[in-house]
Amino acid sequence: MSPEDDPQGQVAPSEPPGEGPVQWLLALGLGAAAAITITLGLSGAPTTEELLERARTPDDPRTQVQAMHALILRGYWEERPLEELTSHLEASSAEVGDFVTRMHGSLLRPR
Amino acid sequence: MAPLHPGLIAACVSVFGEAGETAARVVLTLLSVWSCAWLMVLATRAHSERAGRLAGWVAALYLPLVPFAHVLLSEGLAIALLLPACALLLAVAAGELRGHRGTAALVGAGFAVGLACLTKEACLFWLGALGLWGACSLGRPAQLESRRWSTGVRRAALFLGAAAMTIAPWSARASADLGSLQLLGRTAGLNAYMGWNRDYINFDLVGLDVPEAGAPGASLRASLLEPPADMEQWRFQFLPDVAERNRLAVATGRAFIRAHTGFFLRTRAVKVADLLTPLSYMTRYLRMPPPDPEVAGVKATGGYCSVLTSRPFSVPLTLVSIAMVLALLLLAAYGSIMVPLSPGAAGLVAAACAATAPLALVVAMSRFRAPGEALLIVPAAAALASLRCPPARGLFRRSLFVAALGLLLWSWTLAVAPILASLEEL
Repeated sequence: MSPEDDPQGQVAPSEPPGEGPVQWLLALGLGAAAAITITLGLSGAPTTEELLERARTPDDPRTQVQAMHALILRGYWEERPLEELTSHLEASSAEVGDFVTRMHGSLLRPR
Repeated sequence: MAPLHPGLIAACVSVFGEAGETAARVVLTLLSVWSCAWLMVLATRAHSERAGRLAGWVAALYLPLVPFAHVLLSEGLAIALLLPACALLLAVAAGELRGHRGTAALVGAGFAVGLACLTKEACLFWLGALGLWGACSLGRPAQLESRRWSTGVRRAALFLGAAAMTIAPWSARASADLGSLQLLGRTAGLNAYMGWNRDYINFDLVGLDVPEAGAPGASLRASLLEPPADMEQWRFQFLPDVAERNRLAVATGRAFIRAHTGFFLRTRAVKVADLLTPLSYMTRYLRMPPPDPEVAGVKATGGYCSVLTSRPFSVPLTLVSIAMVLALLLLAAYGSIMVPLSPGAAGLVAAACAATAPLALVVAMSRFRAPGEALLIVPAAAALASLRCPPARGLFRRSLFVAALGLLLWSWTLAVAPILASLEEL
């Protein structure tokens, strides 16, 4: 009895030829691509100094906001005097000020 | 945090401006219709066309899921992504999709569950449970009793690989932002903080004064939740660095669990009851005051309009909501255990339960069970469609059903005091 026969003699619907290898290749390829993507993201994580530099990138408000977001998530501004944050915001684009005011307004309160 | 749901609201606001909040509610309402249709597909595939029609009616009329159809919470989107994934997987398990179509279905299911994980971090439990279910069920051809493990493992690997690749770009970005490995976001750390480093917390009961005596199960519930004397010393400093805060929350919580294992297990018994409680976000919204129109900004929470929260409406709607949860859980237990379902369908329900149960280890409340609750409509509809048929025989099935009934009765005993407190608030 072939492995695909059941005890009653029914024959299982066999898989189309090549389906197994294709699925294994896809599974391993997708898994490896996911692992590489995350590793690249982690290994390319900017330092705090690099983020500060990006946060001052002229004429690129989107990069500034992303860098500011990362700095806030890392708790950078909570460990600095309020004056340093306000002077940074004054030197930044209007988008960065708007982002901090709307999303992280508590940072701007006296501490 | 997981980006998809905020992204949906942001997209609505950027397209519709000030009407963006209303547009987001309309989108979520349309998604609930989409979910309703997939429940019909699932019930038809799992049992019969009659069960499919009944699932549609139950899904459309089931009040406890109504808030997720329009309140700006992420559950509605997560449900809308998980249900089609389940339907695709069930079709592959039943042998309906084979060859390239089967491969595409597995990749599509993985993609959908990956998106669900990007909507709610807790959907990672679904990923694990469905992967395990897939290894067991996806290798069994419909006509055979014998299993082919290698085929199941391969198909489950493809499903998991597609999900991993869907999540990976966001993981890379979150890891780059925080400077340390982050799979999805920060809610897991926050939930560990709330579940392990704080006293009992359940947002279903916010604002309620649950009695500690006088109601059935009230004193048992109070004694199970009695905190240890040194609770204060286990609270950790709420650090501004998110990655460090998460690490500290988990580490402190684990140390607390080791030091107070008995308290942890006692409170988990209550958390299981919280997951199975007849209360829901519907009953919560019905007793909360309506939102203040003077307060600006998008509000995810807050009560319904004053008509629905007036006693002539709120009392009957609350009672119906409570009865609906009781009926759904009883019918789902009967339908998944005592009614013969198509290959893999009962296992899929078990996977949904397995994906929901771990929430009791951290923070449990009715909101978190919503995706599993939606899927339970499938066996409940099968039970309704089979009411005139004799139940399946077998000692194992009967024992399992009695055990499920025992668990429900235990949970509902502990829920009596919160239910009475909730009714008194109306």
